[in-house]
Amino acid sequence: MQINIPVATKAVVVLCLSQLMLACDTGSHTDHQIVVKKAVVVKPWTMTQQTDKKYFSVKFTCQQQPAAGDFQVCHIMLKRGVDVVIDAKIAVDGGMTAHGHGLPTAPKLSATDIPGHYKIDGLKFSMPGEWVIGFKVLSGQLSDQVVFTVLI
Amino acid sequence: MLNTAALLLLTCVLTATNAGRLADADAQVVVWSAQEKQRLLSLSLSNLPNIAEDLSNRFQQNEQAVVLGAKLFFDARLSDSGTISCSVCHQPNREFSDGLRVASGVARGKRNTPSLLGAAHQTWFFWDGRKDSLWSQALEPFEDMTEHNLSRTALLKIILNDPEYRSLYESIFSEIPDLKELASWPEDASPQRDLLALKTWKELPAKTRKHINRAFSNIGKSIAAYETTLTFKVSRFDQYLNDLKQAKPSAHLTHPEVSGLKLFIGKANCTTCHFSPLLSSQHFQNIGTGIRNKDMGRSKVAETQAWDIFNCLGEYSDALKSDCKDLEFMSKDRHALAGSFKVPSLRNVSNTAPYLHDGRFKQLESVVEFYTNPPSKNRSGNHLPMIVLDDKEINQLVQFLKTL
Repeated sequence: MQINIPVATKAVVVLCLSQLMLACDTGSHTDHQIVVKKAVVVKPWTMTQQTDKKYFSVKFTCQQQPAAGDFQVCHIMLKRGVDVVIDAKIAVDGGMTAHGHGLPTAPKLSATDIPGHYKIDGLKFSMPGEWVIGFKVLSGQLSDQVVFTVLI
Repeated sequence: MLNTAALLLLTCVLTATNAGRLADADAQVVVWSAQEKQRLLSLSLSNLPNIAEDLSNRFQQNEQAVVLGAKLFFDARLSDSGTISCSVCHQPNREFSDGLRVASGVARGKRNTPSLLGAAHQTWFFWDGRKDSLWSQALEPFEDMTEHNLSRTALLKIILNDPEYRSLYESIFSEIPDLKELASWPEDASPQRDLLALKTWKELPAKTRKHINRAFSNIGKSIAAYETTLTFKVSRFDQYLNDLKQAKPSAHLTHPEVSGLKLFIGKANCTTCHFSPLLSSQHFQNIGTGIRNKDMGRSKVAETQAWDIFNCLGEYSDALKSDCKDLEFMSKDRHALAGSFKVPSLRNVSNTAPYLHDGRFKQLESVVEFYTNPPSKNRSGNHLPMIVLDDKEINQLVQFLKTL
């Protein structure tokens, strides 16, 4: 059985493995005991949802659990049924419903070399709490949207 | 058996002798959950790198630039009146703030003077964040008509005609305007001051304007190099966190202060915006302090900031485009940003009164009370969650804030 891992995910896996190996290198031992420091493995974070009208499925992935502070390394994988969707126009917006404010930045999506894969640049969260992130998708004649709820 | 009895007796004696102190110590024992401990330790100053590298300023850590910047910072000749230096508003004995409601240069300003300690770690500068680097921030007060009130050319003539400054400048920067070129510049030309200065500025050839701007930006970069050396001190709060990290009992905070800390990371919601070792999200929030037709903060500047020639993407920046993500992806929606101001750091907060962008509150108690009773959301559109604290809790929170 072959497991299909998207290139971006492979990169993350390689990065995680590298970090794991680095962490293992920091282990040390004395004459009396062997101390192996706990490896820090950064796990990718992902959520998959159907768009409102069920036209598309959107797999929203970040390199790690989204957090407040720095720019997030995230992308989406867009499919219609089992087929990836290329050349879609996608807008992103979001905010905190409870606080009544939007995203602190104006992120943008752009297609990558991987079919159906769109990277998100400029995404930040300014505080912990419950955020919503919405993607509006336009592909051919089809227009639909999906809103993710993300706990930071 | 005898030994055991003796030990018990000794324990009783010790307990009786230290009853008061131990009772006090017992009162200080607060058990933090693993999640709380993680959140607390994330606030420690020990997590902050010594230098916050500004890629738009390649002279930031140049030792001569630090020397030049320090001299410029304290030089009152660099003002229209000859009495205003950067240090008039950013006073070293006041954590580099001024203790006034609003800044006072050659005239009265509009906003409260923030502290410069740890300023190099910030993402945005001024209360509305209209500058994206410490060096470009340092330039604006020189031309502000309520601060130094000098034109761009007048400032550079004072600095570059001074032999000591000129020698330092030459030791740092590759291009220095020669004295003949300096003499050819008009006395008062500036794109930022009155109409006459603007007209004179526009009449200059583009090449001359660029020479002037380059020298002007170098002055800002030198001052920023000095300001980068103004670091936070280790606070009692940090010492408490060091003990917490080592699972040691700590006498660095009193019981009411620890209770205040519990509120700070919990019920009072302070760390929603005041997080990380900077105790600031480095973003903009509307807490209901904007005043319509007077000062609505970020909304007025975000669009024009993209065109500032001294921003991270401008020709006087040393950064690559890829280093300027904060500017590239900043939100410019003036409606969404209406009433928003930068979240300030809370470090040294007890020494930097008065508070908020217009210095409206003299006491920390008043600030905390404001958060418990802000203007209505309908009127101000503020982003605040409901914060309910009784008088005792307000007092505890304020006591804690004084340890930062």
